[in-house]
Amino acid sequence: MRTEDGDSEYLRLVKLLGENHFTPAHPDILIEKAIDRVNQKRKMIREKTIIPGFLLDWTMVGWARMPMAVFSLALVVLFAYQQHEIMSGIRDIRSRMKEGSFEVTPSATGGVTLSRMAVMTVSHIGPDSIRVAAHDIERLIESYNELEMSWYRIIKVLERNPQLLRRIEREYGASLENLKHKPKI
Amino acid sequence: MIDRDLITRSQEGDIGAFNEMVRDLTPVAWRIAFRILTDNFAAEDIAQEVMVKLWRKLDRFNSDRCFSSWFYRIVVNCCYDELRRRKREIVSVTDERSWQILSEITRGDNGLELSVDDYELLLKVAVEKLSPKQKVVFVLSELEGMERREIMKITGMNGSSLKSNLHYARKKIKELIKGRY
Repeated sequence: MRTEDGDSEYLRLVKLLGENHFTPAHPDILIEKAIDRVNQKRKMIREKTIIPGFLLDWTMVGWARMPMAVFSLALVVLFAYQQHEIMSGIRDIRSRMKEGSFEVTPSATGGVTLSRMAVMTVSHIGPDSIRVAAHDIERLIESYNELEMSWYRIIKVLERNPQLLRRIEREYGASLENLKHKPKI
Repeated sequence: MIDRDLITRSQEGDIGAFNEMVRDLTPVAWRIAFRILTDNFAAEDIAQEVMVKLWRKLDRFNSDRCFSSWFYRIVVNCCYDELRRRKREIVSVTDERSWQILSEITRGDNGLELSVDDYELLLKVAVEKLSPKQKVVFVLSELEGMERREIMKITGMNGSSLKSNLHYARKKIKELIKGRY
């Protein structure tokens, strides 16, 4: 490519720089270094493929292929069997999980108590079963006991007030004997 | 530049053929890198790196293409990477020897003999202010004597970009010379 103007200093400089063709100080050494560097890269890439080759090269060997394939299949079958056993165990435990039940009995001091709160297991929860929390049962029983106390107080008031008793008997058709009867749980 | 048969055999995995290519091409790579980077050690490193890249990419080389342009492209790209990697060095050219050489040039002394060190120094002075693209274009065009089309293939520049980079490279060097004298 030619320069457009005749700037002589520039041209002389360019000529000087262009015509002086230098070679590396030790070209043979440089070439050997270049070859070595390429060989190193080759070796590195070969080493990177060693492990996959080690793991998979057996597939190329005819007599090893069948036993290794059978062994692999056996491992898969064993794994599947183990999984099945584990899931069976989990299902079995689930099926044995039961409900808790409570027994309500009259107490010696009046009212009722939650006399037994054992978590008994029952084998099946039917469609007509309901689940109630233990805390709710206790609150229910407390409420019942309070209600019963209030009831007995009312009965005593009525016994001391014959006029009031007669009025209630007249209006509601209830007798004192019936009113004294404890409600069943 | 290189025998086609050698290229084909190298692509087929012939290590001996590839080593022969390395022997032929390493000095060429060094020369281009030296002129662009103005550093002998860097040029040696680049020359080796170019051979590694040549080995990696040779199987992708299409024999219908021009090998020399493809090869120079690898060299130039390695040089670009090196120039980008370097921090921008402001070469403080206060060396008396470089100005002595320039002075001899401006006086029109012919047959000036330069040592490698002198050459390196002079080249550094000449291209210190150039951008990487301007350096590459200057070297390929003015020092290597390549045609415009080939430089465009090597650098990937279009015609106007090439012209512009060359224009500014020349301008800066001329200003450098005129500025001192």
